[in-house]
Amino acid sequence: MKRNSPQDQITRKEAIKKMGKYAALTAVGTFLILNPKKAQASSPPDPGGNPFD
Amino acid sequence: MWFQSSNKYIVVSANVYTLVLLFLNVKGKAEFIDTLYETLQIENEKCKEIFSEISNFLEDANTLAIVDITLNDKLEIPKTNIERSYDFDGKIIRINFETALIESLIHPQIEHHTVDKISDAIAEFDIFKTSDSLHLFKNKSHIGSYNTKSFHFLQGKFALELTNSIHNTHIDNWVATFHASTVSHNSESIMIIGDSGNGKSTLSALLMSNGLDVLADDFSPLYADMHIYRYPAAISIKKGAFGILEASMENFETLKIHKNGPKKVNLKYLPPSTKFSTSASNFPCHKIVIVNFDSSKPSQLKQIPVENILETLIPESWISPNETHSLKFLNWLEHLQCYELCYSDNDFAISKFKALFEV
Repeated sequence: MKRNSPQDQITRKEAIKKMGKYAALTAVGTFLILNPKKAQASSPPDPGGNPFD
Repeated sequence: MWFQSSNKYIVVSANVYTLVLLFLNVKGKAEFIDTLYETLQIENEKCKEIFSEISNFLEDANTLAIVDITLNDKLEIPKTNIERSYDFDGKIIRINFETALIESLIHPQIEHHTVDKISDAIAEFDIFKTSDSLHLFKNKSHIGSYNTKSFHFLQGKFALELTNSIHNTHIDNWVATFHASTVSHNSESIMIIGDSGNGKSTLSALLMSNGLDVLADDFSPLYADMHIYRYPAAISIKKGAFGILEASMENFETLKIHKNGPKKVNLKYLPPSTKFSTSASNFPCHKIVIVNFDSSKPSQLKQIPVENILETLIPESWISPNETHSLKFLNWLEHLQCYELCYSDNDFAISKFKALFEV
């Protein structure tokens, strides 16, 4: 990632100003974590649908 | 945002993103605090709090994913009872199943490719069980082991290995496998996603009987060229949909009923209508439809923002943790057109799908 060219700094400050004080204070906490599966899978079985039981 | 160490995707608001960019581009805590003070006149203590929150957020997001590694150095492939050969456009795949029960996990979906035993297979799989683990070998090398309860991961891994073998692709170049059906027409494909029970497979079968090409059902693999590849397995249809399909498809009632499977209901396996040997192997995909079968709401198809499908798409999919693949995936998402189809009338759904291919 490019760091801190003067132009980037100006744009970043503008983005912060646009966000506003209240939003900055309350921003963190509003996000959604999505974990993909760790391996390829087909449709999961229905509950109790293990044919090996 | 994607985090490499954990392979997590996190949807954040524009404001969190602004603060994260500030955090990553300042030289330290003091500069972070000064910038916030200068631009928004936020007092020092509050700025420190925001700094800690962003710092903790990034630390949590980057926590290493735990990778389960099962070593099976001592596993020996047992003598198998059932040997099957399958022909995919001249490419012969051999599978040795230890038992009929293990065979029932894989064979019914690809039964329509069965041929008499031929010696020159391009790949040979062995699938067997020890205590409560299922093992998958390819060309006598261990591919993976799975708890019997998680046999759908064995099915998924096998599906990818099979797809890779029959398309002459490279196993390390798969970007994702989606829990989705994909239909194609002319030169493009549309992916269908939705929670279980919303009729993805039934809708695919109906679209197939109306002249569209089902590229993949239940398992849609995305390659590094960002095309979805053909997975030529049969569409699995649950008992509840037998009536609908008998009314709209010739010979549906003659298909064999499979009982006692993992779905706890009777199933029929409907082979694709297009021949694997004469149909295109892959298509680009720039549209995703999330389906919602609901008779209490008016039927409608509407375009929705991509954020609205991520919660259904990502947790149900495997996405390669490779950085190049992840960037390709994010870039693909950016250019996707997403739709929500709410329906209770199949004819409505079919006509809307056909129209989508014209957009």
